[in-house]
Amino acid sequence: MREVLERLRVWLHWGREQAELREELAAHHAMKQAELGAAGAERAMGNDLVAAEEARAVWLWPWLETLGMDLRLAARGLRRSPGFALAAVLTLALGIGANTAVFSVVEAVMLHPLPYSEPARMVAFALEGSSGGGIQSLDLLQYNFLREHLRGVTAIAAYQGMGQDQNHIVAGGNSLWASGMLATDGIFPALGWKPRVGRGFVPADTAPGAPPVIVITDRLWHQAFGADSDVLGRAVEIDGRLNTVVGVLPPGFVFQEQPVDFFAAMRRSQNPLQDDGLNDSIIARLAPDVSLAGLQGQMPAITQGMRRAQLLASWYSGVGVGGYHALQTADVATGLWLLLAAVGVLLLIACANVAGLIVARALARVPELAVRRALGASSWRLFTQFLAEGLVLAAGGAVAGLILAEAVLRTLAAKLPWDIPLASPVALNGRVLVFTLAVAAGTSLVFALASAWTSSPRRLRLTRFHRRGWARDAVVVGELALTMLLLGAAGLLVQSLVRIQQQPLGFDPAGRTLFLTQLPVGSIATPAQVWQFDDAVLRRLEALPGVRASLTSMLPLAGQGNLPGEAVGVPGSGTSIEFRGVSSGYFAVMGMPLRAGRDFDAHDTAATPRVGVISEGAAQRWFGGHALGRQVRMGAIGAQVWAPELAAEPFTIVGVVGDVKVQDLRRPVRFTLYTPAAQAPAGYAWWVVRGPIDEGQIRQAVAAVNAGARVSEVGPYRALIAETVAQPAFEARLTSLFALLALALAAVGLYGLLAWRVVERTRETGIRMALGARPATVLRQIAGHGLLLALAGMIAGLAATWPLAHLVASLLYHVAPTDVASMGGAVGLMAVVAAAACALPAWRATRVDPVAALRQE
Amino acid sequence: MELLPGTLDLLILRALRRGPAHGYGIAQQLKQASEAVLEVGESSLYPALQRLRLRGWVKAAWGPSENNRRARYYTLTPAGRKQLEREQAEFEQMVGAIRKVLLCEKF
Repeated sequence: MREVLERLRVWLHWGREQAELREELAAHHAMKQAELGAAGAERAMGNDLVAAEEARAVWLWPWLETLGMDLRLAARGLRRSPGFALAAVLTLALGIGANTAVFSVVEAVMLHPLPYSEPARMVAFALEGSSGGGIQSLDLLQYNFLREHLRGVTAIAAYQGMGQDQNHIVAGGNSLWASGMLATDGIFPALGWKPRVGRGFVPADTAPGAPPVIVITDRLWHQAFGADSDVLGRAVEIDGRLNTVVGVLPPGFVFQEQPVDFFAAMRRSQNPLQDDGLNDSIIARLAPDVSLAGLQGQMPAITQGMRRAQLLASWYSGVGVGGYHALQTADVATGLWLLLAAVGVLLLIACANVAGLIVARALARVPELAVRRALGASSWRLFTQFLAEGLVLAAGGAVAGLILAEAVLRTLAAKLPWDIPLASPVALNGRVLVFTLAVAAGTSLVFALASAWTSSPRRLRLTRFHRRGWARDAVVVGELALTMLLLGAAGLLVQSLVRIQQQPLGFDPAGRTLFLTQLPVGSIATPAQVWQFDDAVLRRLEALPGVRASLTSMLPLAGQGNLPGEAVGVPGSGTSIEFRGVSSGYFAVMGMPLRAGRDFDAHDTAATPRVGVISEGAAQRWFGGHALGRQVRMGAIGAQVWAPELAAEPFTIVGVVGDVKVQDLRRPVRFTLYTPAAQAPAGYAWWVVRGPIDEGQIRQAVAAVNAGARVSEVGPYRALIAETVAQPAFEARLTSLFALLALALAAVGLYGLLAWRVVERTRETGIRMALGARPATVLRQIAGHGLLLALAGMIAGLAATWPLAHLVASLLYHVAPTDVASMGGAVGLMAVVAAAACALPAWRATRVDPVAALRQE
Repeated sequence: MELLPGTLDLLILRALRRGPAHGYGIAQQLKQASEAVLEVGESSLYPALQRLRLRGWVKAAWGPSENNRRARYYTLTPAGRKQLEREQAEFEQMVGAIRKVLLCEKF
């Protein structure tokens, strides 16, 4: 240990140390001279250099010095061939930069640790077996059941978002919109966070009729309360109701899934499923000695218990539990890993190209290497030299790559379709840099090995004629095979995207503008007043020339809203039904075909009996097409009631309308019941407007009716639709980009190889032509060789695509992993590019002048 | 004659036992004490001195020399003194053992 410290100390003053050593030796000289006289000193001298070098060597780790020397030599060598250096560094920058960028996203979404304590011990529950797929939420009754019967968890909590920036807060003179989260009392122990002041929730807070309490985040504390230290016990008006602040969270707290400004205690009302009870997420924290498998083992019994207690709807196969982070990222995982694999392949191809450049350049150094070997350089010593060269190249590529990645991430940051968790923004953080370093180290090793291969004693002894190995051919074939793989994958994804976009929507989004309104709950109290607002805005909008407007509780593709329900008089028809409140004229504005019966009109008010329009699919399934006059009951199935107010009066069907997609173009349509908005108005509504209108006019119309109403999400319908396909579209486009880049690199590799071979064979070609060979024959030889390589690559790539395509099957929509059209397109593209790559060198070969070639030796 | 490997450090430490000396002085001392048998050249001496410095057995400081120039003087540290005792004892032990073998009449 003391030695290391001494070394460090001396290294810090290295320059001074060297100077002192020189002075010391000079003094030694002088004293020797004084003693022996000038001549004697000369003879007795001699090993000054050795002395200095040996003395210096004591302080250095020898390998460090040789490494420094090698690095300097490598840098000098690269400066002498700037063309090679530039080509190599740029190619590497592309490969390394792309990998860094994609890895940053993967890291942020999937690998970055969650901002909770021991996130690996957090689990989440989901309902399995519904047709929708994805995480299905549970309800409060199921939560209560789990809480009572589940063993091995230290905390369990149900929570539900109240919408982003959709809660109107009035506190101490400040009025603002904030994002709230309803949660039961286990939420903070489950997340592993404790409030900094005050307390979290206790079971009493969630009892029916308990006084409403909230826990606020540090940010809200600053925004709404000015960081007042006296905030505990203060009353806050949220959406018209008074809540008491009982706790403030620490400044570092972040809720991963969405921005949250405050948590409100989820109170069980008389009917647990009113308002907040449905669509809850449930998480829990494993007890220290319990594993996820142990918890999963309890699920069959839990499922059975729930069924017996009539808590589980019949269309679900059971309740499941999984790792919290794993469940959250389940949807995006495959796509992201595919992208990472694609850039990995791109990097391999880039490396192969650079290795090829290195090997070509190495041939010019054969004399130098042969001399070094003759002078006694060991293979290891030469290898460290090559390693240094590889490191310099890789370092250059890595730095340029990092700059490229940073630039790309910055520009695309807003357009990334994945839900980037809040606590881990996409950035070049520590882990990403370590990854880049590892990649750079790996590539430098590859290059060192490539160089070493060219300098092995056996190879150095070969003359030019015999240096015709198949190794470079194999590398190019490998590049082409990998490119084929990528092109095939890209083709499949693009085909899948096209199929998705071709899905019939069921309505016409062209020229439709949409927006969302929210009423501040304080100002408007009764449903009648809400309808007054809605009606007034409708009239104002329709007063504009050429404009037809309508509203709905939820737009197609904006979200879902379903409830259990059944067709009256049709046994076994109980299922989950999408439920919408729409204004009259909605179907016309949306371009949805009315198949039978009528639309709603002014006669359907809150005072008249409940009417509804159902979707085609439901009409067919339940009533065999004769739906008019039949009835549908919402909120109940048989004796089981979820929403008593809704279930009290069934809806009489007055019309049948076409099916529309609900939330995702890839998911099938669902049974939908539409009811007049006048009979069930809600404080927030989606509006659709057909005709020429702009944002200013919309805001004006709404403000004229109620200045406090909030207008948001204004935009063309097309934009909303594009958002729903944003993820597959981005993945398809990105994979295509990587595939095309790979194709370009592979083509360059093929071209380079052929061009090199042409040069190598100049003499041979010259002889042949002198002996009477026609240019066409020469062209056929070169081009034939190149096309043969391309063919081998294509076949190898296709063979690999077959088994691997099944890995990405989950990303494909209505496209088989072995879709011929996609593959055909990829093969065609590659054939064309390969042919072009072969053309130029082949043509050059025919221009060889036999006389000049023969003279060249 | 060439020094037995590893003994140079020991001899240098011994030479510094009474007090500090510079490199040339140490070489002179060893030459005189050994009656001109041991002649240590710079290429062995200075690396050895650096090694002793690295291990913390000697300290180095600049000071005025005989002919009014600067010279680097080496001083034994307490750790160095202990090391001297240790190495001397080991050396004596080794020499004694070798001598016994050489004087053995059994073979």
